[in-house]
Amino acid sequence: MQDRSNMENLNKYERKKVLAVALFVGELMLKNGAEIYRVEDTIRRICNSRGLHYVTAFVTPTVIMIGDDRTDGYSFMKRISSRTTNFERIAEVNALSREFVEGKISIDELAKELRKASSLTSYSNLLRICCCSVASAMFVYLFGGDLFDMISGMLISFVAVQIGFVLERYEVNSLLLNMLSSVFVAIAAVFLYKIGFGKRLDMIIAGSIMPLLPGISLTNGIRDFINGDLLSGTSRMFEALMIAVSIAVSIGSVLGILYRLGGIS
Amino acid sequence: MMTYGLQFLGAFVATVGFAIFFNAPRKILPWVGLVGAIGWILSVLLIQNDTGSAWAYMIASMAVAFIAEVLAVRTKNPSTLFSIPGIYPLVPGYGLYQTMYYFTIHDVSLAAQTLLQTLGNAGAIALGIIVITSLSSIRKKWINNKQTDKKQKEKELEDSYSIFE
Repeated sequence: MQDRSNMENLNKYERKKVLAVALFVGELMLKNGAEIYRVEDTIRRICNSRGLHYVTAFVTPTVIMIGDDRTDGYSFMKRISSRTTNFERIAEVNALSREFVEGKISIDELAKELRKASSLTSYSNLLRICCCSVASAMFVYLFGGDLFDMISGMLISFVAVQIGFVLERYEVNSLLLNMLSSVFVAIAAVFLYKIGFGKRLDMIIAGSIMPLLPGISLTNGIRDFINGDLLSGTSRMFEALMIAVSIAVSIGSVLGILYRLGGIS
Repeated sequence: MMTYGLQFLGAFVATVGFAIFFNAPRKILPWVGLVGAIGWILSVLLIQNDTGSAWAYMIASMAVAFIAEVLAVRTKNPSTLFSIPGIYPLVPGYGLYQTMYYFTIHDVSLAAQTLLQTLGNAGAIALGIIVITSLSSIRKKWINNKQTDKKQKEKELEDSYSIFE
């Protein structure tokens, strides 16, 4: 059997090291919201660039498996329990792995830089929530609200996103989190509407729920589906559907109750 | 003209706000804002010129996905960094609200109408992304095929059977 790779050049320890670093890269990308295709492709490229040619990666939103179709291979596996969205870390890890594949940095440097990238934050949480509420105010404007509607939309989404952040710390699942946030949105919007701050209830609510809508799950789900990752694609798209339904139902039920009580005319 | 300028600006700020919420790198923020603003203004213009709303959203989301792919190649970043915040202005949040509102006031026929329209718009957005992403993955494979020559491919195939030897 002819082996075209330089596998012999790597000893057992080095091979394990490449696989472990590849797993770490995959974990960082998946945890921060990259698509499945990108994670699998990056893992494959990292392994190929160091002479491990028979590596197969299987990734779903909840697990990463790296294995080998040769009997002397190792297999690595990692369970991913929580996922957030952090584009900065994805971009950084992407750039680092690109440099590694091109041979510009060594594996130890890559591991060191990855550790740095895993805690990369250039915006504080307060700034992020502020920007998000400004964005909500802009959506109120785009849907056709006036200045007062915009201000109340901004205030409501500020608190709603804050509620989401606090609940996330206690690892509440995303459905319940979105339901509680949107219940708050509905109650607060009706309150502000009743005291005369803002004229269009529909604009205020529609603008304030924009940060809760599942845009990421939808986009990533579609992209996974196209790239042939059927399992991840269906699960993400179903997640998007469930979140949208839960937001609609919780706002609808709050408004319905307030109608029965005669709160809104 | 003035209103279009303001709408463009509004969509720009909204998209950049979401991009910061998702921790987008500072360098790409203006580009992300541009993607979102172009998508929104395109959908507004198309709907005002009597294009059906589903068509308008599909064309707008195709534009968003296309510009995102181009920028991704240019800046060497993953394309989702541009397309996810860029698609947010098109997500039918107002339609979702209206559907639910008509259900609460027991106006089932209007509710069904808006529900269908909202689902159609969401599907149209998805379809727009699908078309552009598929084209770009074809392009990627084409480039890959160019780089790896035929002999190497044959050898790879041979190698993959050599496990039985």
